[in-house]
Amino acid sequence: MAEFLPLFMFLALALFLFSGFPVAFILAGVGLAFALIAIAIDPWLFDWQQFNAIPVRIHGAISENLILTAIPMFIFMGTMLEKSGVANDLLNCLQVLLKRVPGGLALSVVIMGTILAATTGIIGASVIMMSLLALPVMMEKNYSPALATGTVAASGTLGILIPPSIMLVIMADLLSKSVGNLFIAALVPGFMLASFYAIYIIAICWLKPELAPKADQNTRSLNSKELAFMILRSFLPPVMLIIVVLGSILAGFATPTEAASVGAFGAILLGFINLVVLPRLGVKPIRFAQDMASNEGSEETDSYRLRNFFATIYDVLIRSALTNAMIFGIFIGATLFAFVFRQIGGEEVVIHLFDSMGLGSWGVLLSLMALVFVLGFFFDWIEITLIVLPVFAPIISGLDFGTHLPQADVVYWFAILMAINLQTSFLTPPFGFALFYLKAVAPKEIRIQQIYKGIVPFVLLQLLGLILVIAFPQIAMWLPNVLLG
Amino acid sequence: MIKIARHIDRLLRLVAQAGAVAMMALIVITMYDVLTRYFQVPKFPGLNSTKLQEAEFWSHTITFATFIGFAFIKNAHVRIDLVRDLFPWRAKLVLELIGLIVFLIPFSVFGFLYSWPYVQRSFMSNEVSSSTVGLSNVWILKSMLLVLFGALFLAGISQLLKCVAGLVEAEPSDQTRDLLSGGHE
Amino acid sequence: EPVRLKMGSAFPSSQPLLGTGGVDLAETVTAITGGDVQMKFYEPGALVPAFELLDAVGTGTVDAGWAQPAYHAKNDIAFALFSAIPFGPRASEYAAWMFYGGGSEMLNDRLYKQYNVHSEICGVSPPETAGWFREEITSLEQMSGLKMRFYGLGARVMQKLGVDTQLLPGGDIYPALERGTIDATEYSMPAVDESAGFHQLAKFNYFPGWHQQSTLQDLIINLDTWNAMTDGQRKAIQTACRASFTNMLAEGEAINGAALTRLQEEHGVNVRRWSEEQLATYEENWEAVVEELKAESAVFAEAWTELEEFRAEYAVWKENAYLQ
Ligand code: NA
Ligand code: NA
Repeated sequence: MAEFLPLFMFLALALFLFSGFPVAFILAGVGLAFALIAIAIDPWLFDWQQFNAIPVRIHGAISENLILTAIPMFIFMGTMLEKSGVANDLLNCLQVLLKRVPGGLALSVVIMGTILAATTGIIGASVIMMSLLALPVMMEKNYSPALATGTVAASGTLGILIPPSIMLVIMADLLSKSVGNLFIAALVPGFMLASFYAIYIIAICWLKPELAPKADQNTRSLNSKELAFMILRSFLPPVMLIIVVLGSILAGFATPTEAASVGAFGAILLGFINLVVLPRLGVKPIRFAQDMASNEGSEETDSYRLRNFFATIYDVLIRSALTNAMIFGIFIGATLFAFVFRQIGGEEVVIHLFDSMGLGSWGVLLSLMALVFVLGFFFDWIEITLIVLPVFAPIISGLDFGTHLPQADVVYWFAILMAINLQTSFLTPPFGFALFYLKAVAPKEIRIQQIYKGIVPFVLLQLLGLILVIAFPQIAMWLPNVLLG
Repeated sequence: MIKIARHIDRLLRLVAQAGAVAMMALIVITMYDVLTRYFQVPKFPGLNSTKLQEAEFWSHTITFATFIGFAFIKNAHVRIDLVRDLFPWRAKLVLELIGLIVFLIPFSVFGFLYSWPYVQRSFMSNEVSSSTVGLSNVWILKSMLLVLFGALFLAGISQLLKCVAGLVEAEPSDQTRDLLSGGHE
Repeated sequence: EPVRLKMGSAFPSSQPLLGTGGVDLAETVTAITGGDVQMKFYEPGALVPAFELLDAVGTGTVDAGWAQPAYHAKNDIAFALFSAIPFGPRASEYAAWMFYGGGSEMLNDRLYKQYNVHSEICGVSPPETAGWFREEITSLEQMSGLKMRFYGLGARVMQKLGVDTQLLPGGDIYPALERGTIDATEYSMPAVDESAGFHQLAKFNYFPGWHQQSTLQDLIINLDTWNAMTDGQRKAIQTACRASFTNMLAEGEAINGAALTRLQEEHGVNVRRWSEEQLATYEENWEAVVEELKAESAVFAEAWTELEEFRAEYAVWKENAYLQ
C-alpha cells in the first residue's frame, strides 16, 4: 500500500486539477491530504512535526531569495509598458515593419521573445510580459487564439535555454561543470529553436492566411517621413530599454534583479513621456485608422495628466502584485506538494522503476529523456532538476557514445538535451507553468483549451530540436569547442 | 452573510494596499542599490549592500504575503477550468465549496498553526540574517507568513460565505457570477 | 527497532569532500549497522534549505543535517567559533580541543541543546584559499568598497577593512561573481574551488587562508531522536563520524596539491601570498572583532576563554614537540 502512495498522489493531483479550483491550492491541498494519509498508514513516512516544512521551505527558499525578486519587477515593467500605451505603440510599429511577412505580428513576438530570453532566465516574467504586450494586440487583429497563445508561450520559454539562464547555472552546479561553458553550449540550440518557430509561423501563415489576418488590410499607408518618426517615437525607446536590460546582464554589469529594477524604472520613465510629456507637447501617436478614437481631449491640464500618470502607476502596482501573487501561490503550493512527495518515497519509486530496466548508454539516455519529458507534464524544471540530475549524475558521466561524441563533451551535451526537454515541460499540459502564467494574464476571452491546442505544434518543434541535438551533438558542442578549444 | 464577506474583502484590500507600497519600495530600493554600486551614489551611513539586498527580498515577501489572499477574492489565481466549464452554475458552486473546505482552508490553517511557533523561535533566539552582517529581527520577515496564511484563511471564509449565499439563489446574482468568472480578476 | 534518518545537506553530493563526505557518511552508517540505522542523504533544498537546517532538525522536520556549525551563526554568533576561527588552530589542534578539550561538550550543551539538536563533529576540511580576486591586490587599501562573498567570522574582519561582505550558498557564488553582484569571493580549498570554476572569472588566488586554517563539519540530529536510539546505534554513528573525520582530513590533504598545480598550469591562475605585514593587519583587525563578539554573545565570550586556555596549554607541547 505505502509504496503506491506516490503514484496515487500524482493521480489525485491530475484528477483534482481538473476540478477548476485554483492550481496553487490543489497542489497544497493534495500535499496536505497525502501527508495525513501517510501519517495514518505509517508514522515513518510522515509525522506531524514535518509540517514545520511549510514555513521553513517558504521562508528559506522563496522569501529569502534575491533572484525571485526580479519576477515582480519584470511583471511591473511589462504591465507599465502596456498600460501606458508604450508596448502597444511598439507592437503596432513592429507590425508595420513586418507587414509584408505572413504572420508578421506572431513573428514579431518570436523576435521579441528571443530578445527577452537574452535579458533574463526567468520564464514567468518573460511569458507574462509577452502575454501582456502581444496577446491583446493579436486578439484585436483577429489572430487565431491558438496560434497567438502558442507563439507567446513558446517564445516566452526560450529564456530558460538562451543564456543567461538560472536553470543552466543550477545544472552546472549539480553536475560540477562550468557555467560559462554551458551557457556557450546553449546559445546555438537556443537560437536554432527560435528560428524554427519563425519558419513555422511564416509557413503556416502563408498556407493558412486566415490564422493571421494581415495588418495592412486596415492600415493606412505611411510615407517615409511618418515611418521614420514612428520608429523614433514608438520603436526606439522601448527597444533601447530592452537593450539596457539585456546588455547590462550579458556584459556582466548587473544581476537580473538589478536589471529588472532598471527596466521597471525605465518603464515608468517611458510612461511619463507617453502620458504627460508628449500630450503636453501636442504630439499625437500615429495609430491605425480604427484606433483613432482615442480619449485625448484638448481640455487636458497638466495636473490632470499628472494625476492620470500616478493613477496608472497605482493601477499597475495592484495588477502586477496580483499576477505576482498568482505565481508565488503556485510556488507555495508546489513546495508543500514536492516535500510530501519526497517524504513518502516518490523519489525511490522513480529510481527503482529506472533501475529495473537494465539499459545501455543509448537506452539510458533515451529513457532519461522520456522520463524527464513525462515528469515535465506535472513538475516544473526546478523540481525535476533537483530530483533527476543528482540521482543520475554519476550514471551520466559514465555513459559512452563511442565515436558519436568525445567523452569530455558527454555531460555538457546531456545538460543541453535536458535543458531543451525542460523548456518543453513549460509547455506541456496539464502542468505547464508557461501556460498558467499565460492564462493568468491573457485577455478574458482566451480559454485554456485554446492554449492547449495552440501549444501542440511548438511542442513538436521542440521535440524536433531535441532529436536534432541528439543526432548531431555538434549543434551544442561546436561553439564551445571553437571558443574554448 | 454577504455583509460579513464584504467586510473581510475590505480588510484584505487594505492589507493589499500596504503590499502595493512594498512593491514600489522594492523597485526604489533595488534602483538605489544599483545607483550606489555603479554610479558612486553615496550610501546612508550604516547601510551596506547586503542590507539593501535583504531589504529587497523583505519588500518582495511583504508584497506576495499581502496579495495571495487578496488575489483569491479577486479570482486572480490560475484555474484549469477545462472540465468545470461544462457544469451548470450550481454544480460549480458546490465544486468551489468542496475545494475551499478540502484544500484551501485546511492549508491556510496548517500554514498558520505551524508558522506561529516558527516566528516565535526566531523571536526568542534573536535571529539575524544568515549573512550575519545584514538585517536583524528576522522574526518580522518570518511573521509575514502569518499575514500570508491569515489573509488566505479570511479570503477562504469570504468566498465560502459567498458560495453558501449563492446556493440558495434561484438565479445566479452578479455576486455569484463574479465568484464563478474563473481565473481572472 | 531500526532507525531511519533523513539527512538534509548544506552541500550538493557532487561537491568534492564537502558533499561527498556526507554521502559517504550516510552509506557508512547504514552499512556498518547492517541497516539498523538507515541514513539517507538529501540534496540541499530537496527537503529544507541549507540555512534552515538547525530549525528543521530541532523541530523534527528532517531527522538530521549535514552542514557546519557556522551555518547557524544567525541564531548565535558563537556557533561560528566551532567551525573555523581566524588565525585559529589547524585540524589536529582543533580536533584536540573539540574531542578532548571540552569543545564538543560546550557546543552541544551551550548551543545546540536549546534548539533540541545533538551534534557530532564529523569531518574537517584543510586550509582554504584566502580569496579569488579579479585584480592583483598589492595593498589592503584596495579592499575598501569591494563586494566579497565571505564566510563566518572572517567576514567581520573583512568588514573592518571596508569590504562589503555577504554570505552566499556555494551554488550562488559563481553566478554572483559572473554578474558582478560580488567582485571577489572566498569559498573553499583549491579542489572544490576548481570544480566551482572561479578561475574562469578571477585570475588571482590568494593564500594563506588566515580565516579558515581548518573547518569543522558536523552531523546534527534531532535530540529526541538521538536520545531514543540505543547505545549501539549512537556508538555506530559516533564511530562513523570519527572515521569520516579521518577520511576527510586525509582526502583534503591528498587532492589539493594536484588541483593547485592544474589551476596554475592549465588555467593560468596567479597564486599569490599575503605578506607578513598584511597578515599582521588582518590579525590586528581580528583581535578587535573578538572583543565585539564577546560583547555580543555570552556563549562566545565563554567559549573564547576556554579555547584560549586550551591553546596556551597546547602551545607548550607544540613548540617543543614539532619542528618549527
Ligand atoms: Na535566458
Ligand atoms: Na509541463
